[in-house]
Formats: sequence, structure tokens, C-alpha cells
Amino acid sequence: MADYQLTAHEEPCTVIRTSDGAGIPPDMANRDYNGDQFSPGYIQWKQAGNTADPYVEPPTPEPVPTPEQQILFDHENRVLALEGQPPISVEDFVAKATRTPAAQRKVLPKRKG
Amino acid sequence: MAALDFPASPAIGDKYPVPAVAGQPQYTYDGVKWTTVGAQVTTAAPATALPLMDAATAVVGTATKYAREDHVHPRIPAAPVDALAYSGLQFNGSMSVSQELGDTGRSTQGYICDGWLFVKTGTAVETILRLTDPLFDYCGFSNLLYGQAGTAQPTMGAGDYYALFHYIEGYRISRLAWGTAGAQPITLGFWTSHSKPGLYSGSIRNGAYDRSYVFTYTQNTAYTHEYKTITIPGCPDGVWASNNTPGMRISLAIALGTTNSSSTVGSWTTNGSALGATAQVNCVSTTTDLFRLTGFVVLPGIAAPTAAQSPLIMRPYDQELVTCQRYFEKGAESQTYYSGGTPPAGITTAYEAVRFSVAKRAGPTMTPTTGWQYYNTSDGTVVFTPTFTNVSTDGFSFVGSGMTNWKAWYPGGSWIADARL
Repeated sequence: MADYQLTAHEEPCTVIRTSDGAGIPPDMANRDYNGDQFSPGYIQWKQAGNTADPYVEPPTPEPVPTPEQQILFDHENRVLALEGQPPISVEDFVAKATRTPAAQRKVLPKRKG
Repeated sequence: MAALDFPASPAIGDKYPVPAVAGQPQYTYDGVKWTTVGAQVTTAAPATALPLMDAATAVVGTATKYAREDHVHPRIPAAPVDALAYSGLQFNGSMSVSQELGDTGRSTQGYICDGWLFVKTGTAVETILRLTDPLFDYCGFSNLLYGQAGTAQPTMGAGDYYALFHYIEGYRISRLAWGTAGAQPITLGFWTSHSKPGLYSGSIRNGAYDRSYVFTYTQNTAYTHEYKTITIPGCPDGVWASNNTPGMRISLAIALGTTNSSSTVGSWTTNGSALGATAQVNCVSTTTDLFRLTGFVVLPGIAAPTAAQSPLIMRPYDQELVTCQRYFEKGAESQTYYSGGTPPAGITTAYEAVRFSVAKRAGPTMTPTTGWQYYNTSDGTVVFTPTFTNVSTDGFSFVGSGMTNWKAWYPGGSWIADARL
């Protein structure tokens, strides 16, 4: 891990100081970004031949149903079980909840009867 | 001068005395009173002595001619103390504000309290702290900077140095017109109580590190509170910032090697690395060496307050805090309040905009503490790590991402905005 990490794919951008998690904006008047001989900043660190860690996109969080959604989710899977259908995943259930009725029909298997 | 004996029943326009007397005003009766308005003092013989210069003690002479001929007024600063206080270029010279470390201090390079930076290179372990202590109470100061070498360094290497820095923003010094022919002088005033008597020093440098002025002062008696004043001529050349970048870099040396010291004292040079004088005392040579400083002022002009006036010239804490917050501020995570329903489920990212108490000198470095939390829809609190975005001199936004059913912010964390010089 380098001393700094970028927060965007291109500079100038805010850099994260990995030692304490500080966010340092790309302001040349900021001593942590552009220091001097007594207090080197990110610019001086970079000029010394160092390279910051690249920006990493934050991970997409796993969808977690709310208590209300959990009740509906469990209900949906009970119905599917009665119908002899495989259970629906949380991802598909959330996707179904956010799509139009027409789109939902394409995602979910048709029920018997 | 003879006693005045105006006529008992004058008429408008009557004069007194008649005839006029040399060296005295001639009065005119205006119907109500005797007045000298519009009158002229009868020409007297020229003064036979030059007016005396102001001095520390007032004196009244015996001459009967011009009042100023042999009257000596006490030397009084042209501006009252409160006006000088407002004009003080320094900030937190009384060491009263210590937002980051309180009285904890440090032995590594960094800020000790607001506005005061400790720099070091060498083997000594100098612990330096802002102390709330009655040491200087009788001088009017309840805080001081206190340094002591836990590990001593009897001999300084060439490149070693231990010093205190006080950086002043360009906006604060631009009125001095340094770098021009009209450069105005400044006067430093401060209290010391070092353990080791001898010659101490410091310097004034510009932001570009290509002008310096080394000054010295003497700690006459060990452990004794001594008030020092030093007047420094304005620097007529070089580039002195008049914006939000470092305008004036003041150093006060604790110990110096040869690389960062100068034998040229009392004049401006282009030596940008001089932190003090070659003859500077080594105040980290033993573990009993103490370096103690407070009551630091930087005033435009050549007049310094007296020792008795020096605590009166310091701005009060509430004003210093506001000035210090231009460079450093601490704040806490917001708390969200609402009623009449809950936010929709499924929120994974949320922002909150925060405005600083005081606009910052530059876009600040934002540092979170641990313990940031949010409520989720099951009413539990969840710890998260915020990121800061849209950081400007006026404020910022903190962001929680990757959250689970965010419902509200819960005040568990705090932030530091650092725009120090």
C-alpha cells in the first residue's frame, strides 16, 4: 500500500492519506497537498518518484431486504414452493420490485394454472 | 504672567488687555464672555530653546514663552493598546487556543497548539507542549509553550535543528508593504523563561525561502521571566505574499546546527535556510534544558508594549479561536431528525453537507475519527467510514456508501479540517 490513494481515475483529485484516512483536496495552498522542505506534501512525495495507489470503485453492496420486503420475499417463495417452482433469489426479487409489470413478467417464471 | 482682571462692565467688542501684551492673548468681549476666538497672540520674541524631546518622565520647565519650549511629555505609544492588539499580525501568541492536542504536546514534528509548529531534525527527543500553568500568571499569561529534552543531544550535527515556527498568512502581512521601498518595520515582543542563560535567536523569512533576517536575544538569568522586544526593519525586496499563502515565516530556535544558522545578524540576506544565529545556545544539550515561551506579538511599527502592557495586548480567547479556526477546526457528525414516516428502504449511499464555522484559508485536509455511525431501518446503529467530498474553503460533504438501509445519521464520529500553513 502506498502512502496515498487516488479518489478518481485522473488527477488532480482528492487523495487519501493512507496512514490516517485523511482526504486531501488538490489545493496548491494546502500544505498536505503541496508542502515545503520542512513538511513535504503529496506533490513533493510524488516528485520524489512515488506513485499513489489507483482509485478503486466502491463495491456494490449486497441488496438486503427491509423487514417489509423480507415478508413479501418469504411469501413469494412460499407461493413458488407450492407451485413447484424454484425459489427466487434476493437479487431477482429486488429487481422484480423495481421493474415495471411488463418487465417483471419476463423475469419471473410463469405460474401453473 | 499677571493675573487676569477683566473690566466689570464691558461693551461688545471691548479688548483686554489694552494695550496688548507680548506673549499673551488679547481677549475680546462677545456680549456673553471674553474670548480669544479669532484673536492672535501678540508677536513675541522667538523661542530661545528647542522644544525638548519626549522622554520616559514628564517634566515642566520654567520658561514663560511657548508651552512646548521646555515641557517634556512622557513617551506614550501613538496607538492605544487595544488598537495595537487588533493590529497584531500574530495569532494565538498567548498560546490560549489548542484545539488539536490540548496540553498533550508532542515530540515529533508537527503543530503543538494552534499556530505553533515544532520542527526538528536530530537525535534529541524534545517533548514540547502547550501548558496551562500558573508559571507566567503574574505576567498575565496562563498558557505557555514548554519544551524539555527527554533525550539530550550535547553536540549538534551540521544539519540538525530544533525550532518553533509561527507562519503568518500573506493577507495578514500585506499592510507592511514588504518587498517594496515603502516596507514598514515590525516589532516582536515575547516572554521567555529558559533554563539556560545565553544567546538565543530566531529569524524572519519569506514564503519563497529566499529572504531572511536573523535576530538574537539574551536569556539573562536562568528560569527567570524576561520580556524581550526586537524591532526589525521592513524588507525592501524579495517576494512577500499578500494572499492566502505563507507571508512571513518566523522561527525561534531551540538548538541549531551550522546548516540552518547564520553569522549575519541584524540585516536582510538571501539566505532562505537561516533559522537563527550561529552563536545560538544549544537548549537540548542536557535533559534539564527547558525552553519556555509565551506572550508573543508581532506589531507593525517600532513601538512595543511595555512588559506590563504585554498581556493586555493579547486578543481574548473568543477572538483568537475564530482566527485559529481559519486554519484548523474540529466538528462532529450530524444527527438526523425527522417525524411522520421513515426514509424508503434500500438506501445504500447518503450525503450530508456541512458548513464550516469559519471559512478556511485553503481547501482543508479532512480527517475522520473512528466511530462514525448511522441508523438503519431496523433501528440499529451501524459503524461506517465516511469519505469527504466537495471540500472547499466554506464546507464539505461527508458520504456514507455501501450502507444497508440507511435511515439517519447517528452522531458518533468527528472530523478535523486542517488548512494550516
